[in-house]
Amino acid sequence: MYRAGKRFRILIVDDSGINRELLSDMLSDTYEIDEAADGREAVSLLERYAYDYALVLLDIVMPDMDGFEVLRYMNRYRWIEDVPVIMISADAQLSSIKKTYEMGASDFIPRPFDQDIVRQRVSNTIQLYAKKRNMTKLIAQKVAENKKNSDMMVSILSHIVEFRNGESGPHVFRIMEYTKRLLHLLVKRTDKYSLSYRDISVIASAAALHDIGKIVISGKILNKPGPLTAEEFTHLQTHTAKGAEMLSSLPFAKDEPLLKTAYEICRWHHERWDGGGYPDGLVGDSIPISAQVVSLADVFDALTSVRCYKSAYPYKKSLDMILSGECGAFNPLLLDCMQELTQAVMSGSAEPDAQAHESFAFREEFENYADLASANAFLRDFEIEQMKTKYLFAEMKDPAFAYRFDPSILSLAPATMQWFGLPETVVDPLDNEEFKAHVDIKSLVRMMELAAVTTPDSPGIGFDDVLTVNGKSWQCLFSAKALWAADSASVYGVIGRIIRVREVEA
Amino acid sequence: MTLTEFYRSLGGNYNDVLSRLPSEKLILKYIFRFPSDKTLTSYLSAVSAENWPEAFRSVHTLKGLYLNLGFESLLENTAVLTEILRGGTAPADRAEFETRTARLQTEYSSLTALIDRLQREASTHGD
Repeated sequence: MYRAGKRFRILIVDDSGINRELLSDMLSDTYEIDEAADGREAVSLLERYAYDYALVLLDIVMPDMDGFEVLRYMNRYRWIEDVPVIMISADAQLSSIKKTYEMGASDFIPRPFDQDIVRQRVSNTIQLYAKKRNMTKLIAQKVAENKKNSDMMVSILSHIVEFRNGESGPHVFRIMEYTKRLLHLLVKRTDKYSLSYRDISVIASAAALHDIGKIVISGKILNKPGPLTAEEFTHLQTHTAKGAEMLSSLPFAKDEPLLKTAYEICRWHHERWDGGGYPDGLVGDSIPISAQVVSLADVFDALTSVRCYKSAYPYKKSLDMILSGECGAFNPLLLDCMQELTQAVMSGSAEPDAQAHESFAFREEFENYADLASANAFLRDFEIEQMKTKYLFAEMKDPAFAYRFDPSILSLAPATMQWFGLPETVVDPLDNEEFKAHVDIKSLVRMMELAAVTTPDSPGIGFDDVLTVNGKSWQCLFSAKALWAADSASVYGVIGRIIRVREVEA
Repeated sequence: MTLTEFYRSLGGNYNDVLSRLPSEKLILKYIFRFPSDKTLTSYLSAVSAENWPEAFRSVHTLKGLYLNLGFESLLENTAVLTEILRGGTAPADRAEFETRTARLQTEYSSLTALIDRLQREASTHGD
């Protein structure tokens, strides 16, 4: 990916043209070279092509945005983890050099430049990172493979149990799905349980095992169509403690989060918020949140599905039964989440949301290998998004734009570039003197304000405004859409077009 | 005038420079690019506008260029000016600063005159 043909690509950032030329001449027989004359140009290039670069050669003292600022950007967006930086500067001050090392720079080339030293350091650093990248790719593949296999094993095991219970296979998947969605709704409401995406993914997987204790319950009791005797019921109740016992007696993986969580869920998924459940009569939040959520998901699915002793209730009726306390006592916060989930399930919006969460879980998986390549996952999303924007822009004859807040980058469609007289990408438009010299930024500010008050379901923005570009003012219609993050937690940008209605007096 | 003579007049050593930089041809290219370089102009306009951060950056860049191209005798003055302006604030000793800046211009003029001579003689050789 980061090779152009068979040659590695290097970005040289220096405000002096002669210095760039010097370095370029030393390296261009072996490498593809891109040049940036200041920090902003460098960030703009990195934003577009970060992982195409095998190395950045970076000057410290530059106007507008200096080398430290570029390093700060590279850290903030984690480009530094995959793109090594070698500092170049006449400033051989020890404190500056130390600071760049602290900020993740790999090496330092002092002036005067010496061809042999420059070439050797560049080559060493690139080889080292190339090895690291290959390792990262390998590990990422292994992690994905292992996750796939372990998910499959959990599914097989839980299917065997459910098969014996006479419950359908999809029951397990629905419990996992409800559990996951309830937890995502819960973390939006409170940070009391400090659940990460990874925790949620573990709880959802472990949820599949909630009834494994039923393997020791007699089939006659499990599949009895009529009401159970008191004795039979007491026997059935032991599936909670039995299931937990099976897990705790496993001779391996005692400290695995999946196992610990599965233990909580097995043992306590029949506890009640008011303390009236079994086997331990735990009250309120002394019941682990994993078990609380699976308990609710289990009840909801039992109500909405056919069982040997009942037909399926509609979603709305099931929710009402849960809220009225007919089917147990639950954490009030979770009941709020349940209401929202029921609405979502009824309106059929379950799938896309679930997929979005999935991609978060995957991203988080990578974050556990932070010293390797967490930036890769982020970038994948980012690249796809950019491809989409590029594709859209190519189709549009109107002046279109996309603005991402953080990093603050404005992308312009060809028609907009022509109108504004600016390049495709503008870094920090609100704070960029060159941009402000061409375009009045008040419409952009207004658009950001309007984007902030949109919702994921209604992201549209439309307003009239006078836009002054290169001294000429136009009455314009702005038609845009706020871009909401996949977890619906925040707006990360806007995309839209500008329709010129007529020219007006400035 | 040979490159050896050129460098000797600037207190430098051509062989040292040649051992660092790719080739004679490229060294000549950089030297001949030098008179059209805008760094000194930026420095002088920053000084007259009292834009001290910009003045610092320009003289710092100039120091880097002299260092890379091996113009030894011009180094000391740019290094001192860089330190005077480091931090991007107005120079404390104004008289010293003015003298140094005047010297920077004089040295620059002699450098461009020298480059001019090198260029003329190089093109004469070429004919």
